[in-house]
Amino acid sequence: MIQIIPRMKLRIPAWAGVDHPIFRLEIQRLTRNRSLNFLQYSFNPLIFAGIGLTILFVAVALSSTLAFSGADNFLQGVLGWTIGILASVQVVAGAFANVLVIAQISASISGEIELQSWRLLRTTTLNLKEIVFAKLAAALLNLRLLLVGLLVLRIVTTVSAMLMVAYVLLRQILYSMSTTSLQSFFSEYQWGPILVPVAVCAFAFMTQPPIQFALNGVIGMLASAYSRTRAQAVAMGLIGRLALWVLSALFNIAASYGLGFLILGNWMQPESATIEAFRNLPRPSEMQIAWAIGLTISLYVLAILAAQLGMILLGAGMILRRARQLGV
Amino acid sequence: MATGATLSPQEILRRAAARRQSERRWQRRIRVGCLPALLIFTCVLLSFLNTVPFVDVPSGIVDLNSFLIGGRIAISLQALFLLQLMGTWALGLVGAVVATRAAAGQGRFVAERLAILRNRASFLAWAVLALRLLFLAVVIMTLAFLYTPVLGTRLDSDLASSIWLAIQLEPLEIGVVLFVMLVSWLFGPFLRLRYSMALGALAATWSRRSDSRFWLAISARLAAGLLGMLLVLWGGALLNLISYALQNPNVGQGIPYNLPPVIASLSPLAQGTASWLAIAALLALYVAGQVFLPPLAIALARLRLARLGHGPDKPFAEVYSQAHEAQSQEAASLAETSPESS
Repeated sequence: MIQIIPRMKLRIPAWAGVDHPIFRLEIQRLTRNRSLNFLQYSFNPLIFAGIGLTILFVAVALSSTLAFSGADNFLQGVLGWTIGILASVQVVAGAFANVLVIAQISASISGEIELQSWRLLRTTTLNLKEIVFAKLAAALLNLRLLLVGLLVLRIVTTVSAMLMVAYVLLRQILYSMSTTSLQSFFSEYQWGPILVPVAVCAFAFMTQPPIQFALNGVIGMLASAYSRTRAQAVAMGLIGRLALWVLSALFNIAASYGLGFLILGNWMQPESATIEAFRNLPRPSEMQIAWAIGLTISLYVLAILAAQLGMILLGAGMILRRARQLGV
Repeated sequence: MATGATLSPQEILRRAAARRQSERRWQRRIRVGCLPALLIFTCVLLSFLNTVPFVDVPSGIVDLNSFLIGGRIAISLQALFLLQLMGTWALGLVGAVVATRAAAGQGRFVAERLAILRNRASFLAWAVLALRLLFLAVVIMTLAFLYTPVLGTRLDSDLASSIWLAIQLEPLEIGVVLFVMLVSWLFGPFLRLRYSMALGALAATWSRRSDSRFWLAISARLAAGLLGMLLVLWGGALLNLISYALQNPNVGQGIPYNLPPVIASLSPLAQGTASWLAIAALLALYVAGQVFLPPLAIALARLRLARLGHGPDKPFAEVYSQAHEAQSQEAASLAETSPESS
C-alpha cells in the first residue's frame, strides 16, 4: 500500500534551504544578533502571559455577575472582553511585528551596497532571483516565531468571535422568530447570507498574519533595493508601510461608502434612488437583499485578499527589476 | 577605561570551577531555605494583614466580634489563595525551564533525567503544598467558626445556612465534588511540576541553544495554560449554547420545535445533580490531563531527540553517578567552609 500511494512532499525552493550559501549566510548573520533573538523569543511568552492573566482577571471581575444574571451573561461577558483584549493585543503585536520585519529586511540589499559587497556578490554564479529571494526567505524564516504568535492570536480571536456570533444569532435572531419563520429559515437556506460572509471574513482574518508578513517583507526589500544606506532603507520601509496603511484605510472607507450607496441607497429602494438607472428596476425581495449584502461583503473581502497577494507579486517583480539595475 | 588582563588557561579553568561551585552552593541554599523562608514570610504577611486593617473599626458595626473574625478570615483566605496562585504559576514556569536540561542526547534517558531534575525541583512543589495546607487550615477554622461553638463565638451568616441547606439536599454529589477538589488541591503542585517539566523537555527539543530553549519552554508552558483556560471558556460557552438551543429559558421550548423540552422535564434536584456531576467531571478531566499528558510529552520528546540527536547519549548510570559525585563534592566543600568546621 505504501509503495502504491506516491509520497506527497512539499517542494521547498533551493534558495529557501540551508544548502543555499546566501540563505545560510543570512541565517547565521541574523541568529548572531542577540537583541533580535531576545525580541523574537520573548514575543510569544509575553503575549500568552498577557492574554492569560487578563482573561483570568476579567473572569474574576465578572464572577459577581454569575449569581445575579446567570451563566450565559457571564460567559458572554467574558467572551466579549476576551475578544476586545485579543483585538487590542493584536493591534500592538501586529504593529511590533510589522516594524521588526521591515527593519530586519531593509538592511539586506542596502547593507550590501553600503558595505560595497553587492557587486562582488553579483560576480558569483548565483543568479539575481536566488540572491534576493534567499535573503528574503532567511529573514522571514528567522522571524517565524512572531508569525506563530500572531497566528495563534488570530485563531483564538476567530473561535471566540464565532461563539459570540452564535450567541447573537441564537438570542437576537432565532429566539424572536415564530415557528413558521424558523422552519423556513432552515429549509429555505436563509442562514446562507449570514454564514457565507462570516466564514469568508473568518478565513480572511486568519490568513492575514502570513500575508502581512510577506507583504511587509516585500516592502522592506523594496525599500532596501531603492536605498543606498541601511538607515535610509529602514526609514523608507517604515514610511512606505505607514503610507500603504493610510491609503488602504482610506480606500476601504471609500469603497464601503460607495458600495453602501449603490446597494442600500439605490438598488434596495429603486423608487427613491439617486442614480436614475436604478429607478426602473423592480424592488428586490428581502431574501435577495440579504444575499446581495452577504455576497458583496464576501466578494469584497476576497478581492482585498487578492489585491494583497497581487501587491506581494508586484513588489517581488519590482525588487528584481531594481536589483538588476544595481550593477553587474 | 578597563584594560583586559590576560589569564592563563589554568586560571580560567580554576575560576570557572569556582563559579560552578558557587552556583551549586546557591542552588542548595535556595532548595533548603525556600520552605522556611516562605512560611516565615506568609506568617508575617498574615499577622500584618490581621492587625493593621482592623485597627480602626468603621462606625455602624453592630456585632464587633463577628466583624473582626469574619473580616480577618476573609482577608487571610484571600491572601493565601493569591499567594498559592502565584506559587503555582511560578512552579509551572520554573519546572518547564529546569526540564530543558533533560532534552539531551539521543532521547533514551529523557524520563530518567526528568526524574532527577524533578527530585531537585520538588522543593517548590512542597512550598506550594504548604501554602495550600495553610489555606485548608483557615477553611477548616472558618467552618468551625460557622457551624460549631468550639472556637468560642459561633458566627451567624446567611452563606453558612445556604451551604448547609445545599449539603442536606445533595450530600453525595457535593461530597464527590469536594473529594475530587481536595485530591486536585493536594496533589496539584506535584502533578503540575511533572506536567510542566515534561512540556519543557518537549519544547526544548526544538532548539539546541540554551537561551532559546529557555524561551521555548516558557512559551510552551504559558501556551498550555492559556489553551486550558480557553478550552474551559469555549467549552462552557458551547455547552451553554447547546442547552439554550434545546430550550429557550424565556419560553421553555427549544429551537428544534419537534423535540420535547429536555431540560425543563428534569426536576430541579436532577438539574442540580447534573450540574454538580459536570463540575466533578471537569475537575477529574483536569487531573487526568495532568496525569496522562506527561508520558505523552516525554514519548514525543524521546522521538524527536532520536530523530534529531542532540549530542551523544550518555548512559543513565554515568549521568547519575556524575550528578551524585557532584553533590557529594558540593556537600564536602560546604562542610569544609561552614563556620562549625572552622
